Amino acid sequence: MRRQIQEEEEEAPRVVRPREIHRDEVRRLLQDGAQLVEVLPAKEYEEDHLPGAINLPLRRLETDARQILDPARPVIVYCWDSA
Amino acid sequence: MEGKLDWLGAGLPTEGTNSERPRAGDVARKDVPTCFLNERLGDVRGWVRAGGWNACVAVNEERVVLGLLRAKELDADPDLRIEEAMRPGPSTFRPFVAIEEMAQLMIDHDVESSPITTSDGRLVGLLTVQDAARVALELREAGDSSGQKEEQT
Repeated sequence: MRRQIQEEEEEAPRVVRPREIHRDEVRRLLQDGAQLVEVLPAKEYEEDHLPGAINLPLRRLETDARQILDPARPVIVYCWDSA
Repeated sequence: MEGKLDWLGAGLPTEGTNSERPRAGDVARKDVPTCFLNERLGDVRGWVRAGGWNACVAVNEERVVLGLLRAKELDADPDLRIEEAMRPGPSTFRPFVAIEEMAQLMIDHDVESSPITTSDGRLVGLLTVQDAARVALELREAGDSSGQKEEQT
């Protein structure tokens, strides 16, 4: 039983948990090819967004992320503030 | 990431319709003279006015704004330290505020000049009411003239 569980854990895909980062690290990661996603509504995105960011409003994130984002590259997600 | 507000507050560039219009950080004078708390007022006044300025921003080594000296403060006893002469803790504004909004605010509240700072309190520049009002007026006139051209076509 213990061996079966261990084998299943080794076969399962590695899940990377999100973590909060500072804007300096954002700039560094973008230089290294990270994808930048704004989850605010389209109107707010059109008014102001970080350079290079794409818009994936929160309600579409689960449905559209897999088609739009490259799973091989880091993804940075941001909103209006950290609250 | 901390969010778009933090990015804007740091005066970092953005894309979008708002970024095409002048904001407080764009119009603020980056070359405003700065001084430290322990400097002698008379010395600071000398080179501030020799440079054609009538205002100076008191900062620390990290360029965090600590105070403001306008004409009245610069005219005080020259032997005072900047810390004693300055107006401490001045009202500041973030770089992303639209210039029309800044101009209106400064006129409404009779604000001659205001330091523009990042969310960390670091100085971006000094915005004068004259510069804010001038740019706001230019924008309004440009908007009016483009509206007239659309009516003619």
